[in-house]
Amino acid sequence: MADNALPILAKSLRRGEGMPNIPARRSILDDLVDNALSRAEIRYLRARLNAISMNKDILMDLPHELLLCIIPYIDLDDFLRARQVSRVWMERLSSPDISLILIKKHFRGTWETSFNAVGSAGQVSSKISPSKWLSEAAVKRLRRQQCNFRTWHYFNYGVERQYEADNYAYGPEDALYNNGRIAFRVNNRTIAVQTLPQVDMPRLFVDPDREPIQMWLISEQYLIAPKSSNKYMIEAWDLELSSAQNVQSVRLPSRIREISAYKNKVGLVTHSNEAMVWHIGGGLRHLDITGIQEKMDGFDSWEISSVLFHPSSQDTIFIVSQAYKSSEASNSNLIYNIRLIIQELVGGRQKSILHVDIVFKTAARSLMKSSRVVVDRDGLCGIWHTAWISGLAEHIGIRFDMFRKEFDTRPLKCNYPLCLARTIHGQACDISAEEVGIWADSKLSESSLAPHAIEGDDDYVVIFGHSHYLVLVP
Amino acid sequence: MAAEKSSIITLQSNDGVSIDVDRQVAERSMLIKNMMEDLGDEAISTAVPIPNVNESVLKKVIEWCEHHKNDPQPAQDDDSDSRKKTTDIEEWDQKFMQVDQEMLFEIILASNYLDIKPLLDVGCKTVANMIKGKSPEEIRKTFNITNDFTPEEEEQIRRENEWAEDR
Repeated sequence: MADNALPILAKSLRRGEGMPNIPARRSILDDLVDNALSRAEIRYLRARLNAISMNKDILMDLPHELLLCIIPYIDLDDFLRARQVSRVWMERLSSPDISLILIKKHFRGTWETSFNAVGSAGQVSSKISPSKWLSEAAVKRLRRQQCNFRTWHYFNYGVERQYEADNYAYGPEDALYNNGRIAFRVNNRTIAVQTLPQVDMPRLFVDPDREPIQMWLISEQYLIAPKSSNKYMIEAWDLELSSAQNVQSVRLPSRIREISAYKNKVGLVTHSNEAMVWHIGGGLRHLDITGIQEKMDGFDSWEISSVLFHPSSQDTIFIVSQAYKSSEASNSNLIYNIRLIIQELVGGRQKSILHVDIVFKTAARSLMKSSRVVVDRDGLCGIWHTAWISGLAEHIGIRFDMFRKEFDTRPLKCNYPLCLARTIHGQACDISAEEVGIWADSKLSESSLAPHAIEGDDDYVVIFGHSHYLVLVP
Repeated sequence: MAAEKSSIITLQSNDGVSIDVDRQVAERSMLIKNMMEDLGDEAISTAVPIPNVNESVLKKVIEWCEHHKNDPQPAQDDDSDSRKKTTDIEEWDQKFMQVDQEMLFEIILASNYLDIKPLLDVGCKTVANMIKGKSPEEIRKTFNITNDFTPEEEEQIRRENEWAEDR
């Protein structure tokens, strides 16, 4: 028998169409192992087989479309680490379609505004590389979530702030962050706006008639404030124009209770539970809230909390309302039943109405009814309620996803006192305001920051203190 | 079991082994289900060749289908919306997936070829869980991969990806 008879025999075993005859080849192997080899030879064979390294990088051997099936299950930190495994992993995981899956999952707002059209056309714009954008954004997001900031700087407010002790709303927590700008109250008639990073002095805004400003906020582009003497008027200053006199206004049918804003759109809720939208520079539009009423059966009271704007769908508006009732529990705790209702309007018509019932058990004797709603760039909203127990606040939050149109009913809890005033803008989703607060306590124990509010997003996190504020860069 | 629907069909692996399977079990595979619907009773009388899958993998896949034969058919869910995807795997499936990587790889390929979406999902989650929370070096160990970056490249990538203090 020739030396290589067995290989020749195995190769000769073919089926009609020339494919290897796998059953016949196996039967040679079976015959060999069962009938021809001694136990010593089988041991030898086993050792030989074990020494053969298959060295198969199973993940990278998968066809691309199957690799894409795995990506949605991977988190941002896992993705960044996996790219560091080898050249092949780096190359395969940097492909634009993989980046787009992760951008859509974790940065929905940016995906809609910058990548969606590109993606559906089947090709990627050469201007923005999804992979480059993603790796930078992912690093910033992770650093911000883990409170691992690249730099942090104290700033004084640049102007002397005057507080009126008798009015809570005039305290140092009367400060906001939005879209790389901070705004804060200087005195009862002046709001300062500072673009980050701080280079110039803040710009000061006052009402043209020098009236006090009570309620105010900044959107991505405007400073918005109802007139205080005459609440039937609301004003907006364009922060992108240099002249502080560039103010637009609109007349309102009744007094304003809540304002919200997104870019050039302002949501208004009046004391008589009307909801309206003002497109800055345009007219005022009433919103149809009749659909909400039918969800109120069996509740003691209800009110509209906020008007929210979808981050990418121009025509879509969500009206957040809540109904309340309370009852006494056996252990003298109070049980608050809150029904959170979100009405979706598209082009002014009701498209859907969703609700979720929350039970809030607390020893507190009162519940702060005006809930706080925060919205991030990716269309995630955090809707917070506060209960007061002997001066301490207990918060409970529910998330709503504007893209999926779904509640996340796992309650958000945040008991860090810093969240008393506001939670972090971008953190409706991951409550790291609490962690930022703890971080600040640990790093700044000797400082005189006296933090009052935390605001921010993946670009900046700002801790507003009494005489200074701290800017953290992820 | 009621007689009408539970006829037996024969699948033939690419290494020539015939395996008899309850039709209901085999139809967890959309490929087979569609084939059955197209061919009707004709298909039942002859063995169905599964040219991309060998005997051991096919048996493993059938084991999964057997266990999940009464699961509701997966809804035509919106694949594009991935925000909610979790890597939770039910206990039986976790045990089922305790196989060597070669087999895991083959199960993923086979479930894709046979169009068994829930099994493909379990396979993908299993792989994702092998990556989750691991450092690059731990991933290399898991998948038996050689680090082919130069030390300079590695340092550069590490710096660009620096987000945690502990790694």
